[in-house]
Amino acid sequence: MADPRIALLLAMADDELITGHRLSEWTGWVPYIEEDLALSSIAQDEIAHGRAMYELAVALGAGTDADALAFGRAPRDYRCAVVCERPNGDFAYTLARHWLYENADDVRTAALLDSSYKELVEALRVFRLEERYHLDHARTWFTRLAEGPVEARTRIATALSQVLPEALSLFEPLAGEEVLLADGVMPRSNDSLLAEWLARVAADLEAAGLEHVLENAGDVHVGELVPTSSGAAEVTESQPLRVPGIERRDGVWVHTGGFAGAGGRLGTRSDDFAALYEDMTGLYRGHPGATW
Amino acid sequence: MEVWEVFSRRTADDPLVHVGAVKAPDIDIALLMARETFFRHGEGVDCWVVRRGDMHRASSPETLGGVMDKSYRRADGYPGVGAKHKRVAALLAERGLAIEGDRPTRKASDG
Amino acid sequence: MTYEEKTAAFKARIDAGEKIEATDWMPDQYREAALKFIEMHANSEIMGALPEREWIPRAPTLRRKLSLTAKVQDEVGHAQILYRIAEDLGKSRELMFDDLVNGRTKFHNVFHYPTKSWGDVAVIGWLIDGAALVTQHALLDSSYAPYIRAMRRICAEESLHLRHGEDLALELASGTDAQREMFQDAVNRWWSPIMHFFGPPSKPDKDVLLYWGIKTRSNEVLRQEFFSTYVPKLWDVGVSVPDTELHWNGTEWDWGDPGWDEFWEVVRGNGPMTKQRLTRRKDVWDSHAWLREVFDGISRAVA
Repeated sequence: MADPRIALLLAMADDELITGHRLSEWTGWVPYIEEDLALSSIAQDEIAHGRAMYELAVALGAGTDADALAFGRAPRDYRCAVVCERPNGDFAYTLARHWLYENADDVRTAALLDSSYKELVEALRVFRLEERYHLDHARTWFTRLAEGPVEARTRIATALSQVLPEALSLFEPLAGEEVLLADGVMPRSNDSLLAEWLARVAADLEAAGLEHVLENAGDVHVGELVPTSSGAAEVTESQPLRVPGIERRDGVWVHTGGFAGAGGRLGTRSDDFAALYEDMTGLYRGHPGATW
Repeated sequence: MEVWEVFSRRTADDPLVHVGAVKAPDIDIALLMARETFFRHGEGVDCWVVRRGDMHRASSPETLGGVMDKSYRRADGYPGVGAKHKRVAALLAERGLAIEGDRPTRKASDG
Repeated sequence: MTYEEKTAAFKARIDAGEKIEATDWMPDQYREAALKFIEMHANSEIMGALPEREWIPRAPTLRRKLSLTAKVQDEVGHAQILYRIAEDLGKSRELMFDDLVNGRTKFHNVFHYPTKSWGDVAVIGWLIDGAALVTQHALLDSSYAPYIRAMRRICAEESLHLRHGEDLALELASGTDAQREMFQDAVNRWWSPIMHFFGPPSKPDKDVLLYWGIKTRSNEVLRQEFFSTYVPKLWDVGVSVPDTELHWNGTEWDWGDPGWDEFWEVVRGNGPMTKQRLTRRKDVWDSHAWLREVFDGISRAVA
């Protein structure tokens, strides 16, 4: 019986690794040099955070070493949320996802500082020193674009509309979450974290006059996983993920209902994962036992 | 009256360093004061003056460059690469794979 | 003083080893030569990021994924430094970038080639960065002071890249047969681009950059230094060089003519990856004018 904490570690480690992987695909291409430098630093931080959590998982028996976990699993054994594996799109999509993700990461890691899992708390304290910078960076860009020239504002609004519904899947419940809650490993449930995150990002969107992003998300997505231009989730034996709807109630945006089906946290990967997996793991898997 | 921070370059080859501050009502007086206060013994070949209010410090300077292990981007992440070369060379010589060939004998060839 | 007299005095200062600052008076020929040289260097750094960055997503360990990202990030950082000092000579970064993506200005030949394997990452990180470091060390005595200061930082970072590249290469050279082959194959493919990197044997007395001291050593001197440093190291780990005429004759290295047709084709903008990389850069540049608007501080009126 695998340690239930592994599910938590892999969810976060995979989110971080895949997020860092996608950000690093921009390195050298960003159309503004100083931002290229910033995204490359953030990418390195995320990959390093992922590595640290893989090492914790190795200590719990999840695999032989961090590289084996990062590059040696089958696609269905990854636990990242699907939103993380989507291609970068243009810079607006990247920044929209960055803003939503960094807010989510802040909410969940803050809550986990009260975890009974001491080694994780120690690691998160260090991560959060770097994540503070990531959140500042994301917020700075959100404001500059939302309050900036017309085209920038339109682009960030469109991008946020695309990413927001799928970003809810960052809070899909984990396998064995009830045990993690009972043990105090997770001080708060994903449902509670989702509520906090949603209220926070919604408040920022309203303050920027971008209510329509929330209203569109509420309308279009009556519980179905967002079909993006690259296609919907791979249909596996289980039902595809349905995310909660969202609505405004007494001045606060809340989610309605829960998740149904199986998403990224349970190993359902989108068709965007195949190319990423081949890129990321091909060389490692092609030379078993080699050192690099 | 404002505070003006003063920077100096000791020789043409050196970077600008902060040497102190003067208080003055405007830039022209600030430059005169800086000259007398910090350069009267010929301590530098360049003098720059900036209004303190125009200088801004990064928040959390202790996290500049990140906090996690970044040795992979510093020399201390690669101790003994030269020694590694010797070890690998010895390994390959043993396997009969090293390539012979005349080469310069001066130290410069060691890179 | 007449313009000619001022120019002669300026040349005398340079010949005496004096350094020029951005705010000094300069003859137009000096300003233009320095700007063109530094702009091409900046272009080379930003285009030089592209061959290697293809292997960041494919890096075979987490540590190499991190270190390769950091390394390529540094190349972008070098571009930032160099474009900034080029701007101070009198051309906006916006215009320099526009000229680059539209094929009007150039970047070093060696960055017009594809990467085919992790072996290429090792060759680029060790041999090409090694070649670049040889030329960049020579620039530490340039007549143009801002360039010297930029080169100090760049050389320090490139020295680190070199250790990283050598570390990577040694893992391959001492690894499995497949890894050794991967590295040897990459060396074989990259050797003539590296020879082209040092340029054709030039005529030092006709070299404008040498005249003004912006560059301080000739192509041949740099190439010989490269051979002396790297050929023995390659041989020691059982890696051959695909030039059958290369040998040390007791005084210097004799080397085979790599052929210069391909060199001139690349200079004309017809390298194997030139159009592909510039087209993609141009697409990203053109489609992100809105982003540059944000940086320019364009905003709406607010009540």
